[in-house]
Amino acid sequence: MNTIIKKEYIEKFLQQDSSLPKEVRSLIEHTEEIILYGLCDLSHDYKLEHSWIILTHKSIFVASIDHNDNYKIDLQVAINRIQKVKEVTSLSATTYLFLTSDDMSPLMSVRFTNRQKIIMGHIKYLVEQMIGEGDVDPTFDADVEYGNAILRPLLEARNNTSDKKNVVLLRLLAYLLPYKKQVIIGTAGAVMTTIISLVPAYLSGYLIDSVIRPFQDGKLTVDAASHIAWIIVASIGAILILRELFSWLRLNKMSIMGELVARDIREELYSHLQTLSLDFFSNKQTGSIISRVSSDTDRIWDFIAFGVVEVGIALITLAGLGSVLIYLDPLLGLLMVLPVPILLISIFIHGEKMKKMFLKAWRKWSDLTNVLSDTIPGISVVKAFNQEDREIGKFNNRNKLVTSEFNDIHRSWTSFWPLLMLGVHAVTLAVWSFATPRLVSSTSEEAYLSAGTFVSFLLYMTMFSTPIEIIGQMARMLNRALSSAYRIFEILDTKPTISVINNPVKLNALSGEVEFSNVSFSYDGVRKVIHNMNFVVGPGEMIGLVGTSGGGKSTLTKLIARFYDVNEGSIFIDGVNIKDLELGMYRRQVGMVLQEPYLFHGNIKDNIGYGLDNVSLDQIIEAAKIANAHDFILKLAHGYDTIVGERGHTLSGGERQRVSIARAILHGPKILILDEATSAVDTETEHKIQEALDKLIKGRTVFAVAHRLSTLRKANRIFVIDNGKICEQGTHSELLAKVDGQYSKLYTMQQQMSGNFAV
Amino acid sequence: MKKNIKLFMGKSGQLLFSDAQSKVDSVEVSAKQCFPWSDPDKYISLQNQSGDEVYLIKDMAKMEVATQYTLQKHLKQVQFVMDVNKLVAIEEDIELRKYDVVTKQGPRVFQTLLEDWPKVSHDGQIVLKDIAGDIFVIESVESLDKKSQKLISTYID
Repeated sequence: MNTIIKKEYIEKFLQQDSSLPKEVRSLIEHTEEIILYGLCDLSHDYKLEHSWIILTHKSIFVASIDHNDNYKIDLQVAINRIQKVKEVTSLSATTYLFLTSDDMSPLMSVRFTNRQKIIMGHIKYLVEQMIGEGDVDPTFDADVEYGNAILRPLLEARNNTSDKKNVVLLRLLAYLLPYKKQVIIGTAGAVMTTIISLVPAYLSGYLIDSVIRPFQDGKLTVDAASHIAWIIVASIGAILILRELFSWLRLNKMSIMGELVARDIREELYSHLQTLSLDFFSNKQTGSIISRVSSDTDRIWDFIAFGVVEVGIALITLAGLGSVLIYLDPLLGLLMVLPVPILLISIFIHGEKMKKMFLKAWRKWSDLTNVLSDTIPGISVVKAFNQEDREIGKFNNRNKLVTSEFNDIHRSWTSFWPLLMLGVHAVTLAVWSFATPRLVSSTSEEAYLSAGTFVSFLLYMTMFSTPIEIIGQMARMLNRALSSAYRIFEILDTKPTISVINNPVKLNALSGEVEFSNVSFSYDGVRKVIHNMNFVVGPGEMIGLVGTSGGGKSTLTKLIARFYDVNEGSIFIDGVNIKDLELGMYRRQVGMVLQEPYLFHGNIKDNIGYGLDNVSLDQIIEAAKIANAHDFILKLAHGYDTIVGERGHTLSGGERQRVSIARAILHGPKILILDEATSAVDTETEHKIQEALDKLIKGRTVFAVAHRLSTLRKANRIFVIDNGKICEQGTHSELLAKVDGQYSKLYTMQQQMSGNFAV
Repeated sequence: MKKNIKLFMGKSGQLLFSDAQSKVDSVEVSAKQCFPWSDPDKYISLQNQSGDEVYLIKDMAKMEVATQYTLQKHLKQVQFVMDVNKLVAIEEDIELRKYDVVTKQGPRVFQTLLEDWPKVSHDGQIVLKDIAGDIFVIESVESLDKKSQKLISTYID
């Protein structure tokens, strides 16, 4: 998202400055460099007032507007006076107290709502870093970081496509371009259907005025009148057949084309999703992404196949009807056409009212379904506590409310449409009232209206209500389609954060050397999860990664797999910078066995051979045997053809893990990452998995994250990671020798807990 | 009345707890209401810096007046939410519902997810939580002017 759009978003949605005001900047920047700033939107007496907190290498400033609307520095505190930043949180406010000690008044305090919490958290983190390390070396731009932090909740909640509605609509319609022929045929079909629909009414009038009336007046013989009448009736018949033919053409072409467009969008969307980096998926809910590929594309199909054309037809019909009516008889025509805008407005107002009523009904409906989603999965608890009657009562109560809301809706629309039709009838009555005297006047009078023209009029009048109704629903249809288009384009516009270079280095066969050189990494740009890390791991070496949760172990493995790019420093694989490697080829040589192995819906055979072409059954069985999976697979009724359900739920955790190990064995990765591979299983299963892993790791560079130190007994070296740094490293015995070391403490603690395991 | 229990403010504004009976003196605590919405004045847990409970106040009304005052002042901070006096507009944007309101603390525009409906408590309070986690409370529908009542009615009735 570019800076201009960010600015627009901050000002539109958050109604606060999109960056530090120039006046404040000028008060500080002439002496000190600004590292980061944030907005404090609560005053000390909890009023929504704005002041700025600005962090430099030496001080923290607080600036606010004075009575003359000029910014002034209220406070400046030297960083070296601060010993501690104390956070006091409440439901919607946080206060930071900058202290020299707990028993002294704070040097300064700032207060803000949750909206500012991310950016203020960054500032607190930096101040604490500066207290601990003297200074920080920021690698981010203050304006960018402020914008990112402030907008994060909004962008996570909403799609972040910034285009205007008309641009999105045009972009959506551009998907029709490959189907120009179908669009032309479909549109021509629609236009012809509309035009042809107008003809029978005209012919009916002509039949009365030019055949029946002259015959009654004795101006035409029976034979001549019959002859012409049959020609007209046959013409009407032919026209009606033609009309349905064109109608078929329109429906057929447009619905098939709509499906093709939806298919194109789905393909583009899914292909693009595969290119996106992990951070995109961690910021969006899975359900939201799935619904964009499924229901949103379906809505687009509905809009393209029917919406665009229906609205087009309705507009053409109204314009055509109006023109024909005015042409036939200007006075009666105007009498018919002029009330149309009033009818449209009343439909619009009714639509708005219905929108609110539906909103209420959906809310009640969601209350009702909540009872179901609560009680059905928890039915055993309901039964155990004998609460069936209570739950039935709750359900019935909400069911009544839903019914009442929907009945209100029914009462509303069932009253509105007859009323609207009454309005249409009133117009008809007015037409009759104006037409009747003219119908019975002499043919020589100027006001004379022929019976045929009037019949045509009456027939045309019956065609008025449908297009009015369609146009009335146009706004709702358009909004639904645009909303879906926004959600789809958000994904299509998201760029992968992993950069790909031109002419990357292709390493066909890695030897498996991994080097971290001054690597630092942060997920949010400010808080470093990996701090200036350096190590070299030789090919075939096994590294155990241990340490506290959130210390950076898993992040380190994700950097090795290049799920993220480092912010500072470099990672070298076989001496080549990881960013210069051909990503696909590299990833094929990196294997992962995770704590929660993922199995796709399908049979065990396909799950073991996932991602590999031409794998023989021998290879699959061989891999399963090495992974200690063969025996349990054969105990299943369908052996390797057993379908493991969605996420492999039909297998136990340990069984799934062994299938995933077999998959890794078959891939033969040179670099292997084991992330808590045995943590969620019982001791016997752990033994089997460990045995499988021991076979798997041979000849590979292995990074194994583990809480149970017993699983790392074969590691050549163990890295103890804390706060993003390697605080200890060495072999098991070397680390145990450090009596006050973290590893030693961790080991002793685990030994006390388990009693008797040996590493 | 629990005379042995005392709460008072420290120099840096921290809440300090003393219990003469168990010889606890000036321990910094924070107060956490067990039932912040349904029974805010009863069952208040005093927790030390590590988050461990050092004392559970069953009924604030039974504390000494000075302690009650200190605790109320502290809870006012801890329980801070924005009190909505007036609704200017409620509009729907793509995936979000935008509220333009006037609160006791000042005017504010905030957004909720479309499916995040306002919650109505048993005593008629209407609670809204925005996408950043800020909480907005309407005392009751009756406390609002006619236009605001009409605006909110779709979302609570």
